[in-house]
Amino acid sequence: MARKTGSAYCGRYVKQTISVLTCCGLPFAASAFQLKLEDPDWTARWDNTLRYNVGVRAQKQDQGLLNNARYDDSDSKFDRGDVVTNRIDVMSEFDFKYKKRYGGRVSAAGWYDDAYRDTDVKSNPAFGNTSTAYPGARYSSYTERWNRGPSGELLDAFVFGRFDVGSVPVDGRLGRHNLYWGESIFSFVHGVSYSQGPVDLRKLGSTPGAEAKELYLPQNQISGEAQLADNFSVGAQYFFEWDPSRLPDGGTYLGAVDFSSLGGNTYVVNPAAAAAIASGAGLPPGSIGPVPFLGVQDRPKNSGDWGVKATWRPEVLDGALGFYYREFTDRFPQYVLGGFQESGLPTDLRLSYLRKTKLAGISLSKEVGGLSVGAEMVYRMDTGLLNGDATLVGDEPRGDTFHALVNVLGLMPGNAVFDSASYVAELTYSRLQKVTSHAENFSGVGYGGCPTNDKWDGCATRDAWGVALAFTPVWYQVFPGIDLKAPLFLQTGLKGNSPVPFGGNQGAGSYSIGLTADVRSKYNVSLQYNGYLLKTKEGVVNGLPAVSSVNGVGNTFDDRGWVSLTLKTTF
Amino acid sequence: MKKLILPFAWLLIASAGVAQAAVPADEAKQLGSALTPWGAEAAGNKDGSIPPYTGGLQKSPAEFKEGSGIYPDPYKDDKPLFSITSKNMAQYADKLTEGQKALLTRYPDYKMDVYPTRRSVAMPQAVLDASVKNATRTQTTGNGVGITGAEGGTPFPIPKTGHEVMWNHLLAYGGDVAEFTSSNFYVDQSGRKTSTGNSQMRYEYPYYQPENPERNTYYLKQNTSAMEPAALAGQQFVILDPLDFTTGDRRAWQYVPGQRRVKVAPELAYDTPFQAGAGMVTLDDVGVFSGRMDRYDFKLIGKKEVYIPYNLYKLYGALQSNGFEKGMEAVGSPKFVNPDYMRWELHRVWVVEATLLPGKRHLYSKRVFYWDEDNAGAGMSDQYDNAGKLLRVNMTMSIQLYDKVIPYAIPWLVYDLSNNVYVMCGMPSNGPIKAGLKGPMAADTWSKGDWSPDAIAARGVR
Repeated sequence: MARKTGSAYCGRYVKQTISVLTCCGLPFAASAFQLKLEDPDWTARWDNTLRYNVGVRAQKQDQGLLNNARYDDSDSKFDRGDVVTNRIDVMSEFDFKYKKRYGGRVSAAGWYDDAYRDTDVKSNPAFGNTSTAYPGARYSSYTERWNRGPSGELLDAFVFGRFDVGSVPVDGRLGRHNLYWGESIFSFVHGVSYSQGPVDLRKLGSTPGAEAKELYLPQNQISGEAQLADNFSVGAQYFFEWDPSRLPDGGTYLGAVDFSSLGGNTYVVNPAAAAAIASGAGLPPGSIGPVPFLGVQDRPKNSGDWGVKATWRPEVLDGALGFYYREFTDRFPQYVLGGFQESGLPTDLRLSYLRKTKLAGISLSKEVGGLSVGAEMVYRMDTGLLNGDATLVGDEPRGDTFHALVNVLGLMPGNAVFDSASYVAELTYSRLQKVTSHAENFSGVGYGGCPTNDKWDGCATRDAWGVALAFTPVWYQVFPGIDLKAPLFLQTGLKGNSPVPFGGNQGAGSYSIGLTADVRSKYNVSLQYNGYLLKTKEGVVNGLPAVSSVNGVGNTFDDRGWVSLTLKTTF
Repeated sequence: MKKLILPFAWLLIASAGVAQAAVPADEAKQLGSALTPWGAEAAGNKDGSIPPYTGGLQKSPAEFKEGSGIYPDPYKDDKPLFSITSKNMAQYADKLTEGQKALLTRYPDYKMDVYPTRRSVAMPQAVLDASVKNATRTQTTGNGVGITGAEGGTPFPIPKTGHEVMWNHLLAYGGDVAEFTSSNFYVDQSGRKTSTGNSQMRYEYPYYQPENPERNTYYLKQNTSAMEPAALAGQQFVILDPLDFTTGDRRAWQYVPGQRRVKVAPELAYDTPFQAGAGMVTLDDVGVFSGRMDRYDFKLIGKKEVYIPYNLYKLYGALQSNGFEKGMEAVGSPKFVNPDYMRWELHRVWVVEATLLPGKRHLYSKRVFYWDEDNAGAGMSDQYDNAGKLLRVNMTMSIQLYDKVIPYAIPWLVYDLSNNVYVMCGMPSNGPIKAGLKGPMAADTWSKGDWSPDAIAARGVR
């Protein structure tokens, strides 16, 4: 069954953080729309970012993946040399302020990817029509909308204001917005910000140059922060909306397991395959039903999630301590079964998002030796654990887990090789404290959900380490008006597999090597190689030599290396 | 009894090794007579090319609109006395900085129009009074890296060391607050102009706010809210600089849009590239010099008469009144700033030579500073790379805010000689300079809590 590990996708965001933090020439534009208003109390601005990406597959298809009916759709769509993305993105943002205290913001994104002009789902012909996950071998309308378009979505839509409650200034926001607490830079799983909002991993992985503003998706909520003292503030949020984090869809280039799509409407076992199984077993036709994948089912209710935090900056510490408590519905899924047919096959497979996970955390932010250091420790109670293949809905394993991370941001001075360079490193750790329910379904080494007891089959270990590194040298004015950067990025599971879904697997990750030109602070051109790391086992599946086991299924397979060219401007 | 006192006295002497003594009261008596209260020579020079100080410019020209925050040129009828070019530079060599000589030599069409010297600087009485008192009470700490004892005026009106002159620069009076829309642009070697950003700037000087409880803690608080380029709009920086760098370092934070949170940003110091500087400006080039002085030995060379940019009302007018785009078009000539918008005057400057300390690292191995005797906030510098070659030539662009009795020297200009690029930074544009907390066109009041990183995050829109 599909175990998903999303941490492989965070590379793109990181590069933005770096360039932002070192403040050396992000893609910018000279002529944003500063709206001129008659009344000086009002200010407004409207900005648009236009981005074009073209990507070409650089690696050849892995026959072992094509030979596994579970993975062949995603791998078959494009072969080496094919254009895997040919996409235009636009992001529009409008802000207004009144007397610098009140205001609002609306933003929206739109896209079209011509590489998916053809919505046919490809499969390994050896499987005939038994392998295609999508009915009629065509993308579902969901997959089509989010991968091809043309389509769009509303992002931010909120009002804000600053009020004095007595002598305490309180800043409040109401509407669709995103908050991201804590200090984590790369990891969206191990920090206090886990599931604080949906993260668009689909866009992050497939659209180089995407803005953090597009990736950390907003939700309807009310939030506020009160400055109780000069060095002490408290904040809170209450949600009126719940959306899941977005994952790549099966059958698309970066999809892994063919049926996995938040939109469902796919098959784990399609009708042709079900008929073939029946006839192979000598059973009458129709005695075995197909196994549909339903995607998000029993959608959690929109309201009810909340969180509080306090930030204290004691003078002796010369840094900030954050304290957090949240109760929330998970935004990352477990893959569970709806029930069983008489034949023993499942009735369906679906995504389950657990309610009422509790999280307590502390964070530290401090300068140490000229470096910006951030750290977090998080304790999650009744959080969803990595589940075994036979988990029925309602029987998801839950438990308490401990997470920690530390990160460092720094800048290297110029030398003979480059003019300056920025770097970011983040180390993450997660550990299972105890299983609180359905231990039999926990897919951990030594538990029922892991029949092989082998971590290389994707089973969780007691604890796990992960790392992410980014290094970006910069050269200024290489040509008149042009700065060059060479962003390098690597993210991987170091040791062990995390007990929580998407927490990272040993040897699974991604990397990229790029060259970026900032042209007159207005246009940004990036050429980049995007590669993936994933440990797999070879075996015989349905009589064919194939990839039989994966440590971190849902990560992009390591045959999907591609080259991307990104053009971007904001105006 | 004596036995008890002696060791105690010895301790005092030991600690004085760290804290440098102020000038004797006798010497301080010159302030207000031969010297102005802040220590400039009140008299003119021998040939009269520098006039005596007569109270500065406190009268607004007729064209000035009260409360407009835009400053018409009170000296618009002045004619250049002469022009210095590569052809006649030898004649003026003793009054030119190495940087100016290099620019004159490099560009045959570069010229410096020299105008009559106008000692326009004026400061409020309270600042003058505090300056006189500071002469006998301010001390440096940590070999000049910090100071104690100073209040609300020039800290060292009679400076004896390079560090003391540099502190006069860092603490130069520029009002208690200044707010403006800052523009930055550069002109590359092909002559093309590129805007590198507009920001809403707030400079706050707690040191000059007698009622601020932090007046003895921080001398400067800066808030930058990026507006342009659009891709950076919403980004914010907060930088706090302490008076005593021996007990506390610069504090810096950055607000990251998209996540709406604030990160510690200690890298915003020393030779980290300045955001809007096209890679040609370091963070400590801001205002020609800013930040902690622990990487150099600052040696006081003495005083000298030098041509420096002064009373640049025409330049301000081009960018403030006509809008940034038009202004940039007018002043941003290829290779160097359109000489018609530059005004050079002869002034006495304090010369300080900074040499990189052994074991310390910086893009610049040597820097020579020239600070105006009337406004230590204004001046020039020559910056040498690690091969000892002149790399960059920096200068402030100053005016006197005549309606507010505030010398204003925030913007600066950097010529990079290795890339043939120049960068204009921190120039007020598209609107008024709001200076001071009182009076017309006053800046907003911020509480201490408003400067907290959490407050910055809470205010973030993007």
